[in-house]
Amino acid sequence: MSFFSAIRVALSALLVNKGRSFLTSLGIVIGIGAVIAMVSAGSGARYKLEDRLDSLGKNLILIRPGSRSAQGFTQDYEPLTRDDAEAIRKRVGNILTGVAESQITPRLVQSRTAVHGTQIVGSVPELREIRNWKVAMGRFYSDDDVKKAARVCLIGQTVRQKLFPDSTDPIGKDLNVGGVHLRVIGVLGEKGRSPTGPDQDDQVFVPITTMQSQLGARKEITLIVCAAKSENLLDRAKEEITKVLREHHHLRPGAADNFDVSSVREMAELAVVVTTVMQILIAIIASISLIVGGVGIMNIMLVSVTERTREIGIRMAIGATPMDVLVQFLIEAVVLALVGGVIGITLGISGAVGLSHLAGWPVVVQPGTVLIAFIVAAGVGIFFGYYPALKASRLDPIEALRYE
Amino acid sequence: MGILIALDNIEKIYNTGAMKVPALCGVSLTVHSEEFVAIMGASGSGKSTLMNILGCLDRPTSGTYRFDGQDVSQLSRQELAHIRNRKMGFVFQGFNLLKRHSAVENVEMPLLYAGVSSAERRRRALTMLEIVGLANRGHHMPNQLSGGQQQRAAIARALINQPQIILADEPTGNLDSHTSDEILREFQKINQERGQTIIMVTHDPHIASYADRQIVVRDGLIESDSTAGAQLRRHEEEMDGVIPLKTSSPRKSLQSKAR
Repeated sequence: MSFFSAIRVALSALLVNKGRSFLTSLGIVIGIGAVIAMVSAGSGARYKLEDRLDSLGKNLILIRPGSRSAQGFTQDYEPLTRDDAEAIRKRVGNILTGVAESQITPRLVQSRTAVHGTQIVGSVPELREIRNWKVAMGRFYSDDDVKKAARVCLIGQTVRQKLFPDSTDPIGKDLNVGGVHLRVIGVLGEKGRSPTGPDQDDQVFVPITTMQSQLGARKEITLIVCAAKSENLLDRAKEEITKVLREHHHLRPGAADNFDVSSVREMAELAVVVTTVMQILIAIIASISLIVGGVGIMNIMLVSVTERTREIGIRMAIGATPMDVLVQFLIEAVVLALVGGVIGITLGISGAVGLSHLAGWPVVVQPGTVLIAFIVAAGVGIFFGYYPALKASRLDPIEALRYE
Repeated sequence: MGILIALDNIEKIYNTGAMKVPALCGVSLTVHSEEFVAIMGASGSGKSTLMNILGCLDRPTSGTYRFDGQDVSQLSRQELAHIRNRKMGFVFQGFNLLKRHSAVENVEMPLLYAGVSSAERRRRALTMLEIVGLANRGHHMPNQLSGGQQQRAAIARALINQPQIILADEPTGNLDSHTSDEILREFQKINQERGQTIIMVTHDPHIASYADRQIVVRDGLIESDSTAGAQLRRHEEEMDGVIPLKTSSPRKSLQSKAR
């Protein structure tokens, strides 16, 4: 019997009981669908994360007070100061594009027509270059502004929308922060959300001196931001910064750091590892579903063979060889599995698209994954369908013809 | 008119665990082409076993079976399947049409296993259905056909690959007497008009008399092998005016060879 005829015979047999065929392939549908959707979701999430980290700046190094344990808790707290920043600037500055100490506090900011709670970031002009901020209107504050603790500020896009809703030109207008008036000298370009979540456009930038002297902030530094000149200088920069700070903090050899130096790249790598591990876990769970689905196919094919014992006997009498019978039933099992696979792939892709829209990450469905899913489905069909097909082919025609 | 079947001292012993059950105890038999043979016997006589061996559905424990000049006693399951497909046609008591396929699909099925193309299969099946008188029923399902019509379809299926021999196992067992007669006359027609060799198993002497040669099986051996029954029947029919009197019949030459 030709291969094509065999497929048609198998299909017509499966269509006899559509409900049963569908239910049997359900295990495969779920397994494959889950793998496709989750692998795609993982890739999409990773893609989005890398994108965000890029916008943050890949060679960024963040120095925070207090060491962080493996779980992320703060221990050994020793505040950072502007002197620390200056020491780093002097000793490591040659491999850095800049050092910017920052102090960040949440405050209520008032314009003439609106009020908005936002983050005030007090820093130095180097921050602009390090963090790759674009100035959309006006100008960034200067070293001079810092020296004079000038009452000036720049606002992010979100702040602008909230405080100047009727799209007036904010330049030159006054903002009231706890009684202190700051004149808007610039508006920053858009940046979007940071990888950790907060809206980067929801900030107001002031000189750090203004922050500490006029806005009542303590003399402590929230963090020091710097950027290595290039990616291969990143590790060296981290080492040198650590060395400088240990000296500056008078830490004896063997004592733990009381500060934390981490690069954004490390965070990115960690994120990749985490998402990859999650993807693998989900793939394993989905594989279990596939095995269950395969057992289901084997079970139903065994029932089918028993039900059709007489039919098999008749076919053998009119000339079907054992191989003809084996191929017929094997193809039925494979077709069941493949139909389940195709439905699973379709549902998986729909799920991936739906998830992407919900979560806001891009749709990433690699053709490679789909192809593998297809092959796996076929493999499950062949593996679990073989035993029933073999049993069918080994039936004795005389016994089979007698079967009621 | 050569020798189609030559059985030489065929034995079949069934091993049912503790016991050995001998079904055939040394059967020797020759059948020429164009013969219409009836094998008679009570149940348990071994006639079904003999039929199964003749039809290459079972292998003898010992002895040789030469079919169409070829020793088939030691062939593989695959080779036996090919012989059944190309050289044999089966007609069963229970018709054994596949219930989920139409009449024409059933009839063309042996050609499917012979590798014939779809269009050619359909053409030949429709032709065969015409020959057995089911021209308009090709697309009916078996449950839409009467017993006699189903058996005709089964006969068409048996004939479709132009086999050397038709093997019929109690072909009229599930039919009423009128339809039985029709079917048996159908067998006679294809035997006489197409020269089709037919071996038919039955327990009923009246049915056996439709054949030209009656072999009686008893306790695993051939008890008698004659054409007497057929002669008697033909004589009866001549007397009833059913068939015209003939002074000589080409069938007479069979009698001497049957011994």
